[in-house]
Amino acid sequence: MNFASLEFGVFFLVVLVIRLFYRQSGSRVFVSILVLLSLVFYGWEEPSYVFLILLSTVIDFFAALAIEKYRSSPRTRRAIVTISCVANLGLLGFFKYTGFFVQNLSTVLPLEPGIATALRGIVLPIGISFYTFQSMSYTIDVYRGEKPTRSFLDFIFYISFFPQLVAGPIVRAHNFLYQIHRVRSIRLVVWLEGFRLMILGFFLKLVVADNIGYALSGINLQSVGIWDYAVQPDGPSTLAWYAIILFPAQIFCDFAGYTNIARGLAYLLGFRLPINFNAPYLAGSFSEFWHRWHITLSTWLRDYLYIPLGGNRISKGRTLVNVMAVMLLGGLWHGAGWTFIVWGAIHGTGLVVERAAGIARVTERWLAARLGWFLVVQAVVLFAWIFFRSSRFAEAGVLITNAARLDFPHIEIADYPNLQAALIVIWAVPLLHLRALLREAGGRPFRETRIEQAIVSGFLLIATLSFYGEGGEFIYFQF
Amino acid sequence: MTVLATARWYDRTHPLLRLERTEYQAGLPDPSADTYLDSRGTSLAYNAFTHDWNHVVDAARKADVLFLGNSRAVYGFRPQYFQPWLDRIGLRGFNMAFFGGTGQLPLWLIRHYDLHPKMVVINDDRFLLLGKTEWEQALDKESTWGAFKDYYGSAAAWLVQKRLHRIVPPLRAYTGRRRLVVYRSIGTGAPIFVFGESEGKPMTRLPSAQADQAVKAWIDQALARGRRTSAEFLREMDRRGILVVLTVIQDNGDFAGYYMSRRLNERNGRIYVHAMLPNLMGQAGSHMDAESSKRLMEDLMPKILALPRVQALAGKQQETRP
Repeated sequence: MNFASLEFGVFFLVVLVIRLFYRQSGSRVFVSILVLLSLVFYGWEEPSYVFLILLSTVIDFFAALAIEKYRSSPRTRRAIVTISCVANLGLLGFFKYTGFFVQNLSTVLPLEPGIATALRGIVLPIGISFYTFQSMSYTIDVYRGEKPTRSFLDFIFYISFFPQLVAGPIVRAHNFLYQIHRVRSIRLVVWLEGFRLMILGFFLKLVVADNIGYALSGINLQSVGIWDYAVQPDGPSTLAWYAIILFPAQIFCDFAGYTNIARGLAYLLGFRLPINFNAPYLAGSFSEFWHRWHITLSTWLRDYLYIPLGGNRISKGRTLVNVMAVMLLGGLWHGAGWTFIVWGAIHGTGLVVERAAGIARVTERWLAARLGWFLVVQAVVLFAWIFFRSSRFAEAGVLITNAARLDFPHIEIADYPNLQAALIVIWAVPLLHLRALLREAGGRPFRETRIEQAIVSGFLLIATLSFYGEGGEFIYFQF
Repeated sequence: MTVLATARWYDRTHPLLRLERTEYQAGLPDPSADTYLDSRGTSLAYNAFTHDWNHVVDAARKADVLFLGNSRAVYGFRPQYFQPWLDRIGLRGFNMAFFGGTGQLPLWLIRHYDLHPKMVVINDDRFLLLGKTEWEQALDKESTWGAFKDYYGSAAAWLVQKRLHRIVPPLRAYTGRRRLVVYRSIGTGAPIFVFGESEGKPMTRLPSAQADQAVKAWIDQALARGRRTSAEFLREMDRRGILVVLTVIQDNGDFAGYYMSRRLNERNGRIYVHAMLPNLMGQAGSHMDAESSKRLMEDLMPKILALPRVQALAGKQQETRP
């Protein structure tokens, strides 16, 4: 189910009534009802996908218990955690990467056309990348010494909790399981914060991301947008630059919007989810970018991939190779396509250069260097998004060529669907980042009082109800 | 602009703030038992007919004459103007044209619901030559449950938005392009325009007798590509004994569709009725307004009724009547 849909509005009212009925969250009945609702939420698009999430949940629940049982036998423990990882990655690999693998294989090996078409047509179950990572991290944590839960209800609730189920944040078991039976009465201050986050999230998604999305990609299957014009050979640079500026704003607002709605919903239900975004376009280095963008994924990759590969304790050369490998896999996690791998490679190269050249030492000392590197980092981030958004290298190549030509003929904004609206709403992105900048710098004006927060939220709510775009799916649903 | 738009919304009569009315303020009631929501930027009629939501196929089952085609046929073949002509020979018509429509969905519907009209009148603007549209392809991939949610979710969203914007002004409607909102009559297929009725700009172009060389070359390629879809459609009509009458509704833009249709008719010997009039009016020169549709029907329908095979149909109809 999509947060930005009418059916979610009805679903949300049901959830809210249940929460008001069970004022003291934490009871088994309350948790059971939320599990049931979460499975309805997940199965709404395709009921059969519920079996997949149940399969992943059952595997890791029993794998964790088995690891605990054989705690004294390292070989058995290792075998069990391996089985769990293979099962989870197998599920993910089959649904997400089979088509990609077959497509690439068919370029070198002739395949039966019927089989190749069938394999390429495997549909990616929504949210599978998120919940398999979450489920797998639990088993690995237990393998590393954490205590497993003995309640299947708690574990399935942790995996299926609907606010974060389909697009994160990726929650760790030790940050969530303890919250389940903690009695949380309804507190006005928490609810206000929950509603504030939800309103901000809906504003980012419906007003900013969807209006930009309409301008970039068109409204339906038969319409086109700025992106389609920008990737036409010999298209004007003006449109290419609009596309280059608009997409980063769209994807940030789309994903950060989702996370804010998820966190707000969790607050209303008495739970806390981690933050996932912190003004990423303020990042002064590649390393900082990944501390600000999709934070729960980057920490997951750090804890379950980078550190097991040796972390910072190995030689500098090996470390750099590992950084690159992690970023390539991070790119591949986003989508089964070479353009995503290149996106990861660009970020990986940035991180490698930054480490190898010791840029942090220079930028710490010199303000001009800091500003210069900030501009380089942000320019590379924008450049990398071109590959992320493009379906083929040729598309990215044409867009880059058009942008590099630097011819800017006058274009009539009104001739392009919704471009006018997109150019209005995009200002929300620099404003949000300015607010974050002032807050980080300890500036007084953006430390809002409750009254100020209420006024801003009221404004955002009215803006959302008045200026919403066409409620498309969240971009990260496809990952 | 925001202030002006808001002020305009709350005080719609003030002469200084005269902005276009939005689709939410059109004053039309909700779709009722006799109508359904056909289009809100994206066409829902594909979904409705494929799954027979709201029993939209019933009237097509009972119809003697189906009017088929793309959006120009939705605007051009208006039942209030063709039905009086059909009444003269005792036939019942139904407009089963779709926005962006080709022959693919009608062919599927005729087979799937086993429709037996006596005649189809087709706006053959590449109608027979094109493959499946994106909407048709999307429907193929969608489950019944998905189609149900899509259709009824969109219809419910429209009702909610209409009510919401009685309280909150729809400011976004004042930036950029507006979306077409069309209801259709379940009984006749007549379009009811909430937003998107033609604004009456002249449809100035009439086709010349011969296409130029470049268009001819392009048509040769298109005919070669579309031969299979065309033959399949016509074969099914023949198998069912359905009389096919082709025409091409005037368009202000690319007339390649007209020349292609003529070439196709020369090749397959189907009945073609030419009905193009000067000084028709339509939105951006296409999608004719109601008055032009009336003129078109007054020109086209007598020509169709005068066809010997149609006269024979009318005779049969009268014979079978009690």
